[in-house]
Amino acid sequence: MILPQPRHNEKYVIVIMFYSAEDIPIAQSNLTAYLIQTFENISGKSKHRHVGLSFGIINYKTIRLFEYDFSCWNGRNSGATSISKYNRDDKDSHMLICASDAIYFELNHHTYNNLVNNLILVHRRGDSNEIPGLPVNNIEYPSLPMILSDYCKSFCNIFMKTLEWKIKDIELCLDQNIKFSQCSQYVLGLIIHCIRHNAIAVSAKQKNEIFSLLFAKTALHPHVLFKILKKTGRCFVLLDKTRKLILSGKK
Amino acid sequence: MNLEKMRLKTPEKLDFVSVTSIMDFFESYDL
Repeated sequence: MILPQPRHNEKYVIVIMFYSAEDIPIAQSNLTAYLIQTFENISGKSKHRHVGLSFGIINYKTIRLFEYDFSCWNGRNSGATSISKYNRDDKDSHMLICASDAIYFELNHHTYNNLVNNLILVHRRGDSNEIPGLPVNNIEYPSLPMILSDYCKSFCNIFMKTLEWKIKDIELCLDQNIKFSQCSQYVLGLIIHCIRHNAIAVSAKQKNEIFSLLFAKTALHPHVLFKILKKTGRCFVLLDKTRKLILSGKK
Repeated sequence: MNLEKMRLKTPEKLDFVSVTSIMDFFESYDL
């Protein structure tokens, strides 16, 4: 699939959408989800409980968004779920998961086209159509012991944050993302791919801060990712009320 | 639309996204 070139005064944009939730329905029946939710409530990270990728088109005042969230979610493999517009009459408990913040960045046509193609591709080892390093469908969600283990290890690595990253360290961490991935790792994988291929321009310091998030592996929380991206400012833009957001098909 | 109005209705279930729907989005958009 080759996407058309963006029109005059418009660009292709990736929106990193952060979601909050009062009570995630799955937490009532899934121990991993319950423990993570309790931790988030205690540590004040519930505003950014989930993160996913959406793609769209931007001009000087509007972002039009394709109505799907591409991400990982506890209990299923990576893939797409639809984004809906909430209305007051909807009493469905699933509608508690709502967008709280959004950070967007523009991408060139080539990288954008590769990403969109990968997002709809079902991951199979050795698939020649797959672009390595970009998010893809069908990646398994990590187990609770793996998340807890990575959480403990990330404490040990806390003093390594100032070290310069070597290519092999990045490759090792990204290799794990292909086998198991939670929502923040999934998004981080895209950002790191874009930085490494010069599709996003960041300073050396910012690059090191973003790459250091790989140390956390499956224990990387969306709130931590949000804080680091917000700091970078220039290329990752926080969505504010001056820019209108339109969901495709749901005006 | 406000961000708060955007909801994930059933995040535990996967939806099928067709190539056609993506191409429609990019070819028929109107900002």
